[in-house]
Amino acid sequence: MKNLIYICSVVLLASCSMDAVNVDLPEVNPKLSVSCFISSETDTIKVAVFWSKPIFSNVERPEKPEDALVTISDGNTTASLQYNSITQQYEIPATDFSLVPSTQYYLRVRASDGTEVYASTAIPEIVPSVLVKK
Amino acid sequence: MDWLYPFMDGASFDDLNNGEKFYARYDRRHDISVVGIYEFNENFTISATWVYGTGQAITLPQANYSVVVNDPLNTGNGTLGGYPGLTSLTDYGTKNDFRMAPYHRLDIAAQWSKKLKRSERTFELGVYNLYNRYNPFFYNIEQNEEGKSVLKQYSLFPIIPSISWTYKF
Repeated sequence: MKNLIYICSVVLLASCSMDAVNVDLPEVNPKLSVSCFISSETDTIKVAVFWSKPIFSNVERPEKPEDALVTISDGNTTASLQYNSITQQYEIPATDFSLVPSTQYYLRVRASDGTEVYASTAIPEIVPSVLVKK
Repeated sequence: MDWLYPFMDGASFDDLNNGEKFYARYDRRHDISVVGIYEFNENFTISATWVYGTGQAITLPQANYSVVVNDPLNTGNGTLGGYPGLTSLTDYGTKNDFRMAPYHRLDIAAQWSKKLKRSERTFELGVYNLYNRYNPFFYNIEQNEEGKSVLKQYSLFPIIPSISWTYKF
């Protein structure tokens, strides 16, 4: 009886795996992923740029593009960030482009193939600290 | 074929899928069952059943990408390749945008019955999934020998012959 249970279990619970057929796999192109945090208190503005890695596509690009055009602007002045091969980020010293609270900043990244992404944000106003006496 | 389903192009919710329409997880466009039974005589019957169902709508990951996590206390000279904090995220694309392969199978059976004085006995031979269709049970993303990601389909229940003997009293 035990053997019968084993045999039935093997037959009924066996599965087979094969490459998926008759399905449309999501083949997408790499997208730009950009990370940047700005603060009026940092000495360097850093922007990290990556290409996403599609899972099912054969399109391959270097994960960290070194030839992108990265610019930051406050609406009046525009500065270009240079690629730093040590930190692998695009950088500009805060002395070359100062960040001021309550100003709107625009970030633009243009990859060598023409793909562009934009973002904008403002640094919040510094909240004055309040001394509470007990 | 979309003109056939003017009211079935999915639903939208403000907080899901960027507010755009998407198919429900169990959206099944076609669900067909065909059953045929033929009685040769009162003792011998054959039957066949064919079922078909559209594949379920699921979400597949499309790409992986890196992002920097803001970590002001880390100077960026650490072990994370020069990044203050790096993590990998997955781009899933549009919700439920991938259709699993359709489900279908054919079952056949032959029954021999014999009525006894106060009882009836039936002997049945059947075949489940006659044409040995590998219907998808689940998918898994795996690496092939070349290191590339491939979608693997796992299936249960290939062609299964069956035999039964029933005694009614």
